[in-house]
Amino acid sequence: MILLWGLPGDGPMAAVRQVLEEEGAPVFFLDQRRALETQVELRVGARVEGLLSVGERTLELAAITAAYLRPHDSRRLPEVQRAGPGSPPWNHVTLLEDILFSWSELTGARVINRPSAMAPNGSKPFQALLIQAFGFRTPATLITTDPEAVREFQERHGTLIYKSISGVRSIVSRLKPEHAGRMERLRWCPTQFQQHVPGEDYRVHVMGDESFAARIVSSADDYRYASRQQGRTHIERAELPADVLARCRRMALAMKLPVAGIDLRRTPEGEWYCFEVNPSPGFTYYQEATGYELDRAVARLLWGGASA
Amino acid sequence: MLLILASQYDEAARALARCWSSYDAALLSPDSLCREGWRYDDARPEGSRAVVDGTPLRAEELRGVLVRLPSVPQDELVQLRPEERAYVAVEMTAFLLAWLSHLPCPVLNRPTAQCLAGPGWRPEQWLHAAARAGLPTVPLRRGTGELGSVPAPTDDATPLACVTVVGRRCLGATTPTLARHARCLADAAGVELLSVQFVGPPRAPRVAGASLWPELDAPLSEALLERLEVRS
Repeated sequence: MILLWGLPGDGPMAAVRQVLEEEGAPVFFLDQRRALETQVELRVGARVEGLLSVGERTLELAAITAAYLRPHDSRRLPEVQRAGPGSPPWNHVTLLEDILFSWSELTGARVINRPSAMAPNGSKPFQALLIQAFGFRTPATLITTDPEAVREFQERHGTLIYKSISGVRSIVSRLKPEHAGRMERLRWCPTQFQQHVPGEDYRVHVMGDESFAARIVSSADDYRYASRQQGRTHIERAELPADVLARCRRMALAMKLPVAGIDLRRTPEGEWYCFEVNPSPGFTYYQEATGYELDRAVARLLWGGASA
Repeated sequence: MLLILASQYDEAARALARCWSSYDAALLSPDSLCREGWRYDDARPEGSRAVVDGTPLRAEELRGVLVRLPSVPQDELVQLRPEERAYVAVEMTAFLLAWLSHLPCPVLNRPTAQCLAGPGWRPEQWLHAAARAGLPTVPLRRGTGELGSVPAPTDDATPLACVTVVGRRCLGATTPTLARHARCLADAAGVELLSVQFVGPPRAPRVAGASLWPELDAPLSEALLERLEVRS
C-alpha cells in the first residue's frame, strides 16, 4: 500500500495521486483536511507496527510499502485554528502529526522524504556546509546583527543579496543604498547576506536515479517572484554536463533524499554554485513549463516499493 | 570562556553558571541574540563573533559550550513585537545551528538539523535505536483518541536506574552492564551527553527511555566541566 499524506489541492500531491490511481496502484490517501477524524496508533517493540484510521477506513502501518509526505501544518486548519492552542482539536492534530512523523522515521518503507532528511533545509547556512562537500561552490555568506560587518562584507564582495536563514520562504532581494537607513534594525534579528553571484539559473530535480534539468531565464533577483519584482521568467529543458548531474544525484543520495529540487547557478566563468537542496519540491511548476513527467518519476519511486 | 546556551528561565542552568563562575562561564539565553555584534562568516570562521553579556567574543575565545535548548522559544523574545516573534525565533534557531556547527571547541551536544542539543528524537526513536544496537528495551505504544488509551504491555517496568553519559564517563551506573548499555546508546545516537532510563530487575535491565536534558546535579556538573575543559 502507498500512503499519500497531504492536501488534495496541493499540486505535486494531486499529480502523483492521479498517476498512481491511473496505474492501478494501491493508494491510501490521508486527506489532511480530515485530521480531526484521523486516528493513529504506533507500537514500537521488536517491530514497528500500528494502525491508521479515517472514518471507516483502516490501514495497518506495516502494510505500507511507500509513502509520499507533503503535509502542511495541521494547526492551520480552520477548525483547529478556531479552537485555538491547547484545545482538544489542537492537541489532537499535534499528537497525530508527531506520531506519523515518528513512524516515518522508523518504517522500512520508502519515504519521500523522511523529516530528518528534510530538516537541514531549515537552516540555509547549515545546509551549505553539507553542499560544499559535493564540490559545488556556495555563495560567500555573512549572518550578523552588526551593520559594520555588513559594510565590511560589501567592500569584499560588492553587490549583496539578503534572504531568510531558515526554511521560511522569503523573497531574495538585492541590498540597495536605500536600505542603509534600515541597517540599525539588524540588531533585532541575525540577518543573512550573500555575495551576488552572476550567471544562469538551473533547477535539477533528482528522482531516485533519474535527473531532470531545467534552465531558468529571469530578469528578477528571485525568479519565483518575478512579477512582483517587475521581471519575467521563462523555464525550459536544459542539457547539463554529466558530471554536474552525477554530483546532484550523489548529493541527494547522501542527504537521503530520494526526491530533491536542486538550485544551481553557472557563472560566466563556468563555475557551478549550489544555493539550496529543496527536499519537498513543488515540481509541477517546472513540469508545466518543460513537459518533463516529474509526477511519473515520483510515482515510479513509490510504486516500485523498494526501501530507501 | 565556557558558555551555557539555555532558556533565561532555566534555573538549573543559571545555578550551573554560578557554580562555574571561577572558570569564566556565562549563561547565553536567546534574548542575547538581539544584540549588535553577532557574526557568522562561512569563509572566515575566525571572524565569527558571539555577544555575551553585551560584550563581543571571538569564536576562538570559547573553550566549550553546553547546549540546553532544542530551539529558540518565541516567548522569550519579549523585546520584539508579538507578531514578529515566531519568525525571529525560527531565524535565530537556524542561525544557531550553523554557528554551533562551526565552533572549533567542544559542544555538548553537537547540534543536528532537528535539535540544537543533538538528535531531536521522539521516545519511539530512542527505543528503536536501542533495539537496533542490540539492547533490551520495553515496548512502547502511543496513539490518538481511543487508540491511545491502552497502555503498552510490559511485565516488569520497575524503575531501576538513570545513567548519565558524559563523554566516556557514566554517572549513576550501579553495574557495569548499565554503564555499557548507556554508552552504547549514546554512541548509536552520536552524542556525548545523554541520560538513559532503565527498568526491570538488575540482572535483566531494559532501556525505557533516554533524554538529552539530564538533571544538572553536582556530580554531573563536575563531569561536564572535566569534559568541556579537557580539550581546551
